[in-house]
Amino acid sequence: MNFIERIKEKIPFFDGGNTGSGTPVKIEEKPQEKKEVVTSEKNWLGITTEKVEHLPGLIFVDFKPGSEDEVKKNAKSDIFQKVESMAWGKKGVTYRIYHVVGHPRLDDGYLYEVQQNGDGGSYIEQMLDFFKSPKNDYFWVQCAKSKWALVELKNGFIDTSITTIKPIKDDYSRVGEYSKKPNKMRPLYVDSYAFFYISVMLFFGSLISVAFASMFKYVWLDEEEKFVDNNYYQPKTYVNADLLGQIRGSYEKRPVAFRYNKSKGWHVVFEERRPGGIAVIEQRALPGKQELSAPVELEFIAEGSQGGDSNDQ
Amino acid sequence: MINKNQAFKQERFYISVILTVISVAFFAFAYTLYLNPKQEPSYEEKKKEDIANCTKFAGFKGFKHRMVGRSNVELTDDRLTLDVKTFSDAEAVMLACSNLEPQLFCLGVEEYCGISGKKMVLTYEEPKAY
Repeated sequence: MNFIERIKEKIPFFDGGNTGSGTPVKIEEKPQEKKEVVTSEKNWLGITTEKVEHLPGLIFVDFKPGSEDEVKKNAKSDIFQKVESMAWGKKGVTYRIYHVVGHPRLDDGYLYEVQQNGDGGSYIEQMLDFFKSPKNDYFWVQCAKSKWALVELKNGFIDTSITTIKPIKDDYSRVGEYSKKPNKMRPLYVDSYAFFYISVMLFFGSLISVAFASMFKYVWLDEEEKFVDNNYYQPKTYVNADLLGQIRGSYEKRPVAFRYNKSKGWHVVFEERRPGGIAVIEQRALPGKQELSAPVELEFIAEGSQGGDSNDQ
Repeated sequence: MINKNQAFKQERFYISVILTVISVAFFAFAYTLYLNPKQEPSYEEKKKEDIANCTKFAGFKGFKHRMVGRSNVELTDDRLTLDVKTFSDAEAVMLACSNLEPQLFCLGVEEYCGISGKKMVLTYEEPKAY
């Protein structure tokens, strides 16, 4: 059965350009080949962008019943198989998978549309609206180069045929509207691999860079940092050993401690007998000096008491 | 059957982003390696070495030692002598102990020094390495 016979069988009033009586019918060829339409629109940033609308080279529509994710995956692999079997190539092939829910004439499932060299617009919404009516069993989509796609709904399944036969006058209402397509088709194949290749090259470049840097540091140079030792005992606080070594006590004033600390340096603590008690005094021994510095009283311990609080430790 | 182009179409972008981020991190790491070509020495080993050298020298000078906390070394000598050598020895220990900062030295009676004799406390300060 050739295509025209098939069309005749499916569409009783279609006679392939002839009436049943053999009288030629003049077909008013309303759907003319569309030219490219360029529309300008402003996006939300206020930048004007141009959208080029044109007819798809070829179109294919099919339906897979079932709402499971597996069905959607199968639809995707089906798209690839179809595109490969129809030898559409990879360039300009776009697709869209639509989840059909609650349609009066279709079970819940996935409807998919594939276009070759389309403008990104999809006919799915128009098609589903059109097929809601039980009278509408087929739908025409105009393609480029005087081709037409006949999308048929039969027994809950969708079938698509490509033909060069134009729809007759009565079918004008069954033709998909060129300018009402939502722009939802996606490219099936990724044409540009630039970012991927660049990232892969960057990755290998960085690996080589780390490898070289590690080799440089741990193999070729292989040198440890050197510690710089510090000595915190400073000349300004050097001990005046001669002076300190000669200090001797007396009954009135006896040394009880020779001390060093960071802030004061070397100094001597004396207990000095005074009327009424004992005074604890401190005198610094500065380097290079021949005598101790002036005494500083730290505390006074009165006679009979156990001792006062010390001001210095 | 999933077509390989489809399988990687979306993932390719994410893989590219991840690879780019990893690459940037690797380049930054390599840059730090070049920036600091010398290997970092062991600070813990250095500390042990410095303290060991200090306490060994202090031992020659008659001091006993014990660690107070992680960084303080306490040196004590219960001989109470008062002469030039006593101070010279104390100063020699302070000078010999690299990277140990003298906090205090006290020679005297227990009431003023906490010990009848000599007591010194040194604190370890981590040196810089270049």
